[in-house]
Amino acid sequence: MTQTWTTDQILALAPDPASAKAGQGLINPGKWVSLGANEQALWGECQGSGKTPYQVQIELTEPAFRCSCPSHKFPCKHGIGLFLIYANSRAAVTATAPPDWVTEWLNKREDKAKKREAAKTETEKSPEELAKAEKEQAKRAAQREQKVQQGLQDLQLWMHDLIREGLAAVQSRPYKFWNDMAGRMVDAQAPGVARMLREMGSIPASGVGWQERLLERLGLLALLLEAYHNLDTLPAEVQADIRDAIGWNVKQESVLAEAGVADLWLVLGQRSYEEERLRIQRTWLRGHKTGRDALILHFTQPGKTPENLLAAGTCLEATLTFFPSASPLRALLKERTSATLPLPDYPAYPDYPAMLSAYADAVARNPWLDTFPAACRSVVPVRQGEIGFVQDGEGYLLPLRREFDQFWKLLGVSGGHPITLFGEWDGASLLPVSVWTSNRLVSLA
Amino acid sequence: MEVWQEALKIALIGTGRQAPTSLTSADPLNRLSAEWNTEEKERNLLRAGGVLTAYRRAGYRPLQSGDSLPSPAEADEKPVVPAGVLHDLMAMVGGQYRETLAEWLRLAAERGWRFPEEHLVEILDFGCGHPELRAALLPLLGVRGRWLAAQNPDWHYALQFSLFEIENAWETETSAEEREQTWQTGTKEERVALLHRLRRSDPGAARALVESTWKQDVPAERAEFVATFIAGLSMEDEPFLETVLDDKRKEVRAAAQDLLAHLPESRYCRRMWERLQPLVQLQRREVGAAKPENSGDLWNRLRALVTPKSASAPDETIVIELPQACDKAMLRDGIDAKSPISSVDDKTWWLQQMLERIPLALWSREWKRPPAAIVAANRSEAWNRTLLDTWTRALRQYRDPDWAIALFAVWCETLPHSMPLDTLWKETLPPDIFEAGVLHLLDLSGNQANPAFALFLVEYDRVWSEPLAQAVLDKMRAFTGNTAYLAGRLSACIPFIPANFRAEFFALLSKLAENNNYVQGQIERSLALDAFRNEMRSKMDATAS
Repeated sequence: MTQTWTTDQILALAPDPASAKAGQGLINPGKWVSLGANEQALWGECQGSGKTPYQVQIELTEPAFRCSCPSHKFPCKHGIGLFLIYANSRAAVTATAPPDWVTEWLNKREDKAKKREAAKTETEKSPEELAKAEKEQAKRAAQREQKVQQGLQDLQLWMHDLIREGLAAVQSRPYKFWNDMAGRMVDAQAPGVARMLREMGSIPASGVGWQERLLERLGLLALLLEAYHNLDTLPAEVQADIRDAIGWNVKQESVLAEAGVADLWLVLGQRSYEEERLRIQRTWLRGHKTGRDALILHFTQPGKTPENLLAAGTCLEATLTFFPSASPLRALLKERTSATLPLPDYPAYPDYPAMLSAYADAVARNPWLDTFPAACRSVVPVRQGEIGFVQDGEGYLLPLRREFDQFWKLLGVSGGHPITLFGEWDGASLLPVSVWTSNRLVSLA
Repeated sequence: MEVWQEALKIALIGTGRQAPTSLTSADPLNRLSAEWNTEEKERNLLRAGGVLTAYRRAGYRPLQSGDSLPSPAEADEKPVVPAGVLHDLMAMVGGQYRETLAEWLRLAAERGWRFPEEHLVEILDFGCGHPELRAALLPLLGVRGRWLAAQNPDWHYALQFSLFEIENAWETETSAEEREQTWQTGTKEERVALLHRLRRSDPGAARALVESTWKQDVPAERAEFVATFIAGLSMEDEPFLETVLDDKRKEVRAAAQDLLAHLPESRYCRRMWERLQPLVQLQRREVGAAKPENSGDLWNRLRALVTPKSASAPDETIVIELPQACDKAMLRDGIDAKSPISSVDDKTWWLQQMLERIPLALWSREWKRPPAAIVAANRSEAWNRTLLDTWTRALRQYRDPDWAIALFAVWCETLPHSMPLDTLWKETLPPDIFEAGVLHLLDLSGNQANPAFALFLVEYDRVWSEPLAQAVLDKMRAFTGNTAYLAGRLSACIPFIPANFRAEFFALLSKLAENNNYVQGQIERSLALDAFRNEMRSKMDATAS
C-alpha cells in the first residue's frame, strides 16, 4: 500500500526545505548500516557523526517517525532519507523481522493508543467539581464576551473615522496605523479581527485595485461587527461562523465528540505557509461517496511536521467531524480506518458555472468565507501580460492569485493541454494548489 | 455594478467630505442605497460595502477570452527520467555533488530520457545560470521542455539544438527538397541545426544554402550560420568566407575571420603571415658550449628537444620588431586598433593579435622547423613570455599535439610556477607526456614549497599510472610544508587513484590533514562525492538494460 508514496509527497513531509535537502543527501543506501522493513514499519541505522549509528524508524500507516538523533526537527533528515530509499530503491530495503528496538517502539505506540482510548472514557469528575469548573468557565466566558464587545465598539468608531476621512487619505498611513489597532483587538481577545486588520494594513501598498480590495475587507469587517451585535437573533451555525471569524476557538474535543462523516476521503491538495510564527498546513479533502469538502488545518511550530500526515494525491477511509458552520468546511480527523490508499479518481467541477454556483451557495450562507475548494476540470493555463489565468473549453477565464509564483511549473505540467486543477477560490481569484494529470498529482504549493 | 463604483467613490473621498448622494438601483440592492443618506452615513456606507462584496463574490462571472489558445505541446515519445535517478539529478541541481552533474546528464542523454514536466522550470532556470552545462541539458528537455522554453524569453537559449541531438536524433537522411523547405521556412534554430548536420555530410551543400539567402538573413543569424562551418571546414569554403570579410556587421566578419584563421592556405592566413614576416624572424646565433646529455627517460628526451644548444635544436633565436601602423587591410582582417588594456600599448596589441591568428602548423611549415625547435628559439628577453603566452592561447584554438608537447615541455622546464594549470594540457597532450610532466614537476617541487603539481593533478581526470601513484605517495610521505593544503588538493583526486593504492592513499591523506578540521571536512566531502558518483554510475548501469 505504501506504493502510493511518491518522492514529492515524502519531501512535502519535511518540516523545512533544509531538511528535505538533507534527507535527499541520505538516499544513498551506502550511508546506512542496516535497512529493513515489514508490512507495518520500516527501519534503518544511519551512520552520523557520532559513534553509534542513529536508529531511524517509520510506522507506515500514518506514517509516524522516530529517530534517535538529537535533531529538533520532526521528522528529521534521517526519517526523510529512509522513506525516500523505501520509495525509490525498494530493493535496498530487505523484508525481515524487526529488531528489538523497532518492536519496542511499535508496542509502545499501540499501548499509547489504547491508553488514549481508555482515557476518553475515564476521568469522570464529581458533580460538585464539575459544577464549580463550569461556573468558573462561565465567568471567564462572560468576561471575554464583555472585552470583545468593548473592543469591537472601539473598532467601529475607529472605522467610522477612517471612512469619514476617506480611503485616499488612508493610503499614506503607515502599517503601524493598522498594526496598532490590531494590537488593541488582540488585547480585546478578538484575534480573528486582529488578523483581518493586519491583512488590511498591507493592502494600500499592494498595487492596482487596492482601493476596491480595501473597501471589500472593511465592508466585510463592518458586516461582522453588525452581525455580532445581533448575534442572539441569528441561527446557531451562523453564530458559530461569526464567533469563529472574531477569533473564538471551538474546543477540538467538543468537535470530536460530534457524530462524524465516514467516507473514503480523497486528499485533493495541500499547502502550508507561515503566519505569526506558526506553520499552518491546509489539507483539502473530498468525500468519495458524500461529495463533501473538508479542510483540515494543522498548526505547528516551524520546523515540526504535524503528527497526522496526509499526503496529497492519496486517500484514506476515515471519519471526519466538522466544526459548526453554516457552510462547514473545517474538519478534524476523528478516526482513520484504513492505511493510505491510491486515489480512485479525481473529482472536479465539470465547468466554471458549476464551481461558481457552489461557491455562491457557500458565500450566501457564510459571507466571511475566505477560501473555497475549487477543483476545475479541463482548464488550460494562459498568460496575458503579467497575469496568469486558467481558461476553460468555452474560453472563459479565471484569474490566478497575484501571489501565485508557480505559473511556469503549472504551464510546464500542462504543456498547453487541458488539465484538472485544484485551487482555493476567494471570490475573485484562484490560488492553484495541485494539478491532476495523467493519473498523478503534481503539487504546486 | 454602478452601486459598487458609487460606494467606492464615496469611500475614497471620505463621507466627511462628500455626503452620499441618493442612489437608484435595481432590486435587491435598492434598499441599501436608500439607507445611505440617513444619519449614520459612515455605518451605512461600510455596511453597504460588506453586502455588496458578498453580492459581487457570489455573483462572480468570468470574462471570456478574445484570444484563441496557444498551440499545445506535441506528444513526447521519450521516456521520463526514472524516479530512482531523478533524485540524484535534483540533488545536484540543488547544489549537492555538482561535480558529477555533467556526467549524469551525458549518461541520461545516452539513454534517451527527458526531464519530467514538473521539474522543467528548475532545470531551465538552472541552465540560465550555468551556460557551460546548457549543451548537456538540451537533449533531455524533450518536446515539452522546448515548448515551455519557447513561452519564456529567459529560456530561449534552450531552443537551439545541441550537437548531441543533431548527431543522434537527426540521423535520417533528408532529400534536397526537404532541406530546401527547412531552410526557407524553418525557425533560426531549425536552420542552424540543419547546417550543423549537413556540414558533416555535405559541407558544400550547406554553404550553398547559406549563400542562397545571405542577403535576406539578419546579421545575428548570418554570424551563427557561418560559425557552423567549423565542421567540415576546408579550402572550398575559403572564397565565400573571404567575401564575408567585407560584411557590414562586425560579428559576421569575426565569425569568418575565426574560420579563415583555421585554414593555413587561406589568403587570410597568407596576409597575416606576410605582415608578420618582417617583424618576427629567426636569426642564427654563435655556437655555444657543450650540449646536455640526450638520453634517459622520456622527460629528459623532451627537455633536450626544447633546450637551446642541444643537438636537435639549431642555435637560433627569434627576433621581434613592433609593427608601426595598423592599416585598413589589417582592420579588415579583424585586428583591433585600440588596445583594451592600459598596460599593453597599441603596437604590442596589434602584434599579439596577429600572432594569435597564425595557425600553429603554419609556423613549422614556413620556418621548416619542428615546433620544439621554434619554441627553443624563443629566447628574446623582452618577448619570450609574450610569445609563449600567445602560442599557448593559440594552442587552445588549434589543438596541435606536437605544439602541445613542445609548449608543455618549455613551460615545465622554464616557468613551472607560472604555467596555466587548467584543462588545456589534459585535452591536448598524450597521457604519457602529461604524466611525465607531472612527475617532473613533482621532482621539482621539493618537500616544502607550494605543491603546484597537486593543482595540476586535480585537472587530470584519468586513472593514474602506477609510477605516478607511487611518486605521489612518496611525496605525501616526505612532504613537510603546508600539509593541509596538499591534502585538500589531493582529496579531489580520489576517483583517479588506482585501486591497489587507495588504502594507502587515504591513510596518508588523513595523516596530512591531521589537526585541520576544514581539510578533513573537504576529504569527507570528496569521499562522499566519490561514493555518490559510484552509486550514480551503478544505478545508471542498472537502467541501461
